[in-house]
Amino acid sequence: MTPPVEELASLYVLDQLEPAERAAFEIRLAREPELRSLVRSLELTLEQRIRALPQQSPPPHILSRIESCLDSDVRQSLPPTPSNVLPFWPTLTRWVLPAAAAIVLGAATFFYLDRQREPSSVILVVGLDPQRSTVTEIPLHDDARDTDTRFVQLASLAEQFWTAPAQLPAASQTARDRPAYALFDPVTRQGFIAVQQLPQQPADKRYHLWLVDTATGRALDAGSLPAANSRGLYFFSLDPATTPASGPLHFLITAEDISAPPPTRPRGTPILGQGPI
Amino acid sequence: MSAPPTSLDDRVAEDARLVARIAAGDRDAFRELYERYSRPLFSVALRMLHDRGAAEEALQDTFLKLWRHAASFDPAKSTPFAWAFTIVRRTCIDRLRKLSRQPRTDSLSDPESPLDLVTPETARRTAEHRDDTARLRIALASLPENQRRALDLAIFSNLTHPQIAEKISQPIGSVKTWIRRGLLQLRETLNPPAP
Repeated sequence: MTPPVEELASLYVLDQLEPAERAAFEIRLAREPELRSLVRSLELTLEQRIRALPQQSPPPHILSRIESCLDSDVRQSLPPTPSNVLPFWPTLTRWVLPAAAAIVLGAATFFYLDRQREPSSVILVVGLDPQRSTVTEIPLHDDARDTDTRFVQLASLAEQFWTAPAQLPAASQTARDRPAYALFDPVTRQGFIAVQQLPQQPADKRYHLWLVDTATGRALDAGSLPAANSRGLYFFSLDPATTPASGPLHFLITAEDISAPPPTRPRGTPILGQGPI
Repeated sequence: MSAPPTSLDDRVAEDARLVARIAAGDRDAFRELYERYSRPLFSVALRMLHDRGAAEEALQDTFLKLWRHAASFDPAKSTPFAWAFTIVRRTCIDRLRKLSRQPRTDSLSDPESPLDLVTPETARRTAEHRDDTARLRIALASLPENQRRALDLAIFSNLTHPQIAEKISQPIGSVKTWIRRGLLQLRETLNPPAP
């Protein structure tokens, strides 16, 4: 290993890399067993350093306090009452049965941990195809404390990956050229989706983006994609008034009737999953 | 509670299995991981925050995050302990920012206080810990001062490496080199290659 690589590995282990640098390094990590071995040895050294600190035991009540919080979490995450759930899945099931595979294959799952996720991270889904997609958590800069700052950092990441797709984690494994990807900030509930080679939209249809909460069946409206563009990087934002999701989310793009009122739930044909988008 | 694993690799693998069980909602696995990690992580929090109450809260937040994020742990990217360290460090940094208080990094060059090993731990762990600590102290003592200081600032402060460079009035390149050399030299001293 060369000094520059060892330097990067050391900074990675010590959590001293910038988010984009970290994401790029993790791409290499996934591809280079020798680098993984170096990182592992440095991590074990770091652990030895930490374990050699004067060891102090936390008071016994801390564990009970933590477990009380976990019990509270469990109570809060109990399934919602039926009146809170839009009848999305039954409808979906009817027209989706023949195309179930398309939905399952086409929906990239990630966990929407609105209350649970560290507030300093955003989610990157690359591939938007569960068979090949990867879900990565990317930390934001330390100063990402307000909506504007978070948006700037989110947009910077989205643009960076758009202009330099090689920096996407596992990009080369998910598509030979430019993969589709999505970045989502669970705190501000904003995101970017980058699509490639979308099928031509029929004149009477518009493509609509949804984030589907699989725990409740709710589909969160993320807006329509512009017509006529088969590829692009688009911003989306969830309605802040909607209840946060409580379980894994899917990205889903459907083709909705353009003449119908703006959809409140997916009714059209799923587009995502028929191939790389 | 399972028997303690014997080698480093075994322990890392066992810890990773615990995290996987935690991701599946296994409270016993969570308690086992707490047993293994709470002392070193609490020690990190104390080192960074210099306040017992704040360190207790940081430890609590850290283990809540460990539970909630267990499903996102990727053993291909880090060991479970390194992952947990990153969480406790970021938690402490968040807390420091909230308190608008800088960590007392100037104390890092002070000799470390005597070990507090009077809590209920097995004699084996205590002996192992003392042995590791002695080796670590020898290894640390063998590091040039600039390497040791840069490394400890990178681990135990809320400073980024450019901020470390500014704090100690050295070029960023030098700081990065010292961090690298310090960590590699510690590794070599603690884990010499087999003859």
